[in-house]
Amino acid sequence: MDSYETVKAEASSAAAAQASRPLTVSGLYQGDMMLPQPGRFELELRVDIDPRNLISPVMNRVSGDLFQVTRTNLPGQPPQISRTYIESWIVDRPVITPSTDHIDVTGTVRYWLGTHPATTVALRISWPGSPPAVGAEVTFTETGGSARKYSCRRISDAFRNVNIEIDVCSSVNTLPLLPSYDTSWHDDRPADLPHRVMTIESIYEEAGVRVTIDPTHTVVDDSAAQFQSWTTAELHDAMETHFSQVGGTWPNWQMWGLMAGAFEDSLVGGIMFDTAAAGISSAGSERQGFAVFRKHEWFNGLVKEAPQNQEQAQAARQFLYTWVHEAGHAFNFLHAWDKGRPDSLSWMNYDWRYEQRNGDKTFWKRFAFRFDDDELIHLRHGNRASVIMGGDPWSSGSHLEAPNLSMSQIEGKAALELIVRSKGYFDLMEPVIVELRLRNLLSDASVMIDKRLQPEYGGVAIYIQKPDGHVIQYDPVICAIGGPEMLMLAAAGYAEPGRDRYSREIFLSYGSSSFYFDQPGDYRIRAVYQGPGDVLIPSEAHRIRIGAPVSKEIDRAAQDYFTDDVGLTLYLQGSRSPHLAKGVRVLEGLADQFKTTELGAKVAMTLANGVSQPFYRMQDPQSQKMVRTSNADPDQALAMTESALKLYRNDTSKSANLAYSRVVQRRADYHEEAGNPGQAKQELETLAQDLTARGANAPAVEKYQRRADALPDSNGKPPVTPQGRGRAAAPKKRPRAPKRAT
Amino acid sequence: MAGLCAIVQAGATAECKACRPQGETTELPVPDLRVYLTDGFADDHVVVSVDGRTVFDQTGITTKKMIGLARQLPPVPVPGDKARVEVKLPEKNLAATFDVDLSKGSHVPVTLENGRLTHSVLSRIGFM
Repeated sequence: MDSYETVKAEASSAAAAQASRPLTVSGLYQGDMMLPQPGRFELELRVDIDPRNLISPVMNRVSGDLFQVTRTNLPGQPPQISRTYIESWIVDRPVITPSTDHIDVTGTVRYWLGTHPATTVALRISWPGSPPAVGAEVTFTETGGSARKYSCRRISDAFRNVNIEIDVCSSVNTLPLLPSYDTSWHDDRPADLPHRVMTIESIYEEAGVRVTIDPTHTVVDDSAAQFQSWTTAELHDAMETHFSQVGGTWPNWQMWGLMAGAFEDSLVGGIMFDTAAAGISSAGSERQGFAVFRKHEWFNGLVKEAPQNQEQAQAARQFLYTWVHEAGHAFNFLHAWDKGRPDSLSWMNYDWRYEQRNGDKTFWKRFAFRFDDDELIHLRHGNRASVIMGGDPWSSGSHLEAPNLSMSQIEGKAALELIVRSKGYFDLMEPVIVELRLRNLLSDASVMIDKRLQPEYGGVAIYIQKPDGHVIQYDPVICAIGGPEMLMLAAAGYAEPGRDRYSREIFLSYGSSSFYFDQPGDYRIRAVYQGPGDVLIPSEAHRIRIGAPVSKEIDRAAQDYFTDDVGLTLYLQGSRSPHLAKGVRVLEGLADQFKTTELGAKVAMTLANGVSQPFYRMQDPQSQKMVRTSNADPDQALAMTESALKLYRNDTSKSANLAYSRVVQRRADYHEEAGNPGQAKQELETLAQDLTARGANAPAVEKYQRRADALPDSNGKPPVTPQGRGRAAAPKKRPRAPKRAT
Repeated sequence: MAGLCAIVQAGATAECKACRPQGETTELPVPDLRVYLTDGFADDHVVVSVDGRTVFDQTGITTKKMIGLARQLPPVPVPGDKARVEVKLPEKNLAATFDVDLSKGSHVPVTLENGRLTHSVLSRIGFM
């Protein structure tokens, strides 16, 4: 082609590209990582740089959520895919450079959580093909040059999706159940207000959230005699009873709304009751539900047809306003004035509050039936945890300082489950020990894990939310490096009970940041396991309560207890170093003073561990020679743990099984060292019997029985063999060999 | 005029003058003044007086952020159209006096904002 033809062809191509440019490129994009680890991560990208429709404002932001993808390959089956939410980010001031066939967007990335190297992002949004398929190539570049690339395609013109279930009380089960309002109905409105019929769905669509309301509405029978009004506790109970999603995985983009009769305070026309601020303790998941009170005087003029007068129009308008307002609280919106914006013309204000400052009847003449810009930015681009239902508590900002991965959440079918568990209540100063348990969820494939669950090895991160809401990561005193200790967890469908799981107790009271549970109150603990193949498995949050000192005596003791000497002695499981002698003395005093409690028992176990082993140290700095300064004293260790043994033997609660097992195993070691294997055997056999009676897992019980069997009894009778007991030595036959997951 | 009655918006009970038998003394309707302590209160001691009479004196007044209301005072009957309302926070050395025109409404929300007590008079009020 000559140059004229080339120019003509290029112009034609450019014109074609321009002609095929979609009306908007804003919306939700989704795609996989291409480099450096193809398919390892998934990006949900929200581009908000041009109008999605005639009414929806543009916020000029780009944001995203990052997920780690785990694919479990099972032979002969499609891979099982799960994704774990990692973190969110936002670009506050994107620079937009349009071209004929693409748009470049660049900007500085601001992560909501944790620490990151300075990062920029570059998007190239293009729309090849006919009809155009809008996509974005996304490149993150960190200081130092390392880059991550994603290839995303536009999947929606909304930024988020939320499902709402709405139920109705029988006493108010009349039309209209859901609001619908024509902007022309009431005379008080802005002159330039675009005319439209508004519903909950359309309002949130304009805001950038696709709301789907379940067409099925359960009718809640509130006809009981003397039942006149709802309390927040009753509303929460109704949600727990009727909301189909309440028992599912949270956080989640799901919400429940109830049209109820009246609230206990008749002035309240609607309430988002699912928050500690409303007096509800919802075990960690807030902002799941709200209610609108149909019998409020606001709605006296509500009619099922189009309003015939201004009073009816006002009622219809207020009905819509209340529904949208309460759902807004579930998205974690405060009232406008609580955000320092008392003059905001927003769904989250009160008309009369605005008019207190701006004059009578001014609100509705100025309100454009929208959220304000800051609210839209939160809704569309906020940190996922602070928007999603069941994420951050209402009005909290605790996530803003939380470490990386502390809010991670798994979606889809994972191969493993990690749980954190312990008893729910600990006395102040009682060492906090939790159990981490990994379980294979696959019914016909075994899974390999690294059984080093101690945080010291770095494979498990533990996050603690303190009573003030602050989230910190548990930082152990010691960092350990070593080869993995692999363990195969059997398939859940074929294994003997217990072989599909692995547990380990973790001491959390003290770490490099000192004591973690030194204040009474509610704590939440989450763990994240990172296993072979870069598997990332977060646990649910586990709640514990640390009690307040029940006496002045304990309160005084706390002053000596919460010191680094004591903390380090506990962390090291006892020590005979003279540098920690003061801490040991404090613990000895506590063990004696509280010997009939778990505090005393756990402290005694720690001290006993210290004296049960010899201790070497460099006594003479000149000689640099390690010298034994203390001999192992198993007899003293046994004396120290006598009370603990009695305590746990008498505690038949399931939560005490691990502690009971621990003390018996250690005492068995001490008995053997002291030359009394028969005593060890006796205590192990008693343990096995007690655990069986308490319903403990058979493999765990067998482990202790086997150890007992391997020991001679007190009369010197030789150990019992499996054949001697008449038990089958061969393992149980399995229907077929289980597959191994990769 | 027999049978014609007027209903007072503020919620006070009322009787139609024309419906009363001749010779009986008629009483003018007594509207209720309703004061609401709304936003900005945090464990405060609040004293409210109406026309010089203390009608409320309590400690621990805290705004429920969920609905923007700390306390709704019991209705105070007020003869006539005018009332003088005084709100004091003795521990914070804050006080404000409002003259309320009840012909404009009987709901008086009081807000504590930036160290100042402000109010308005409304014919209707609600919280959500």
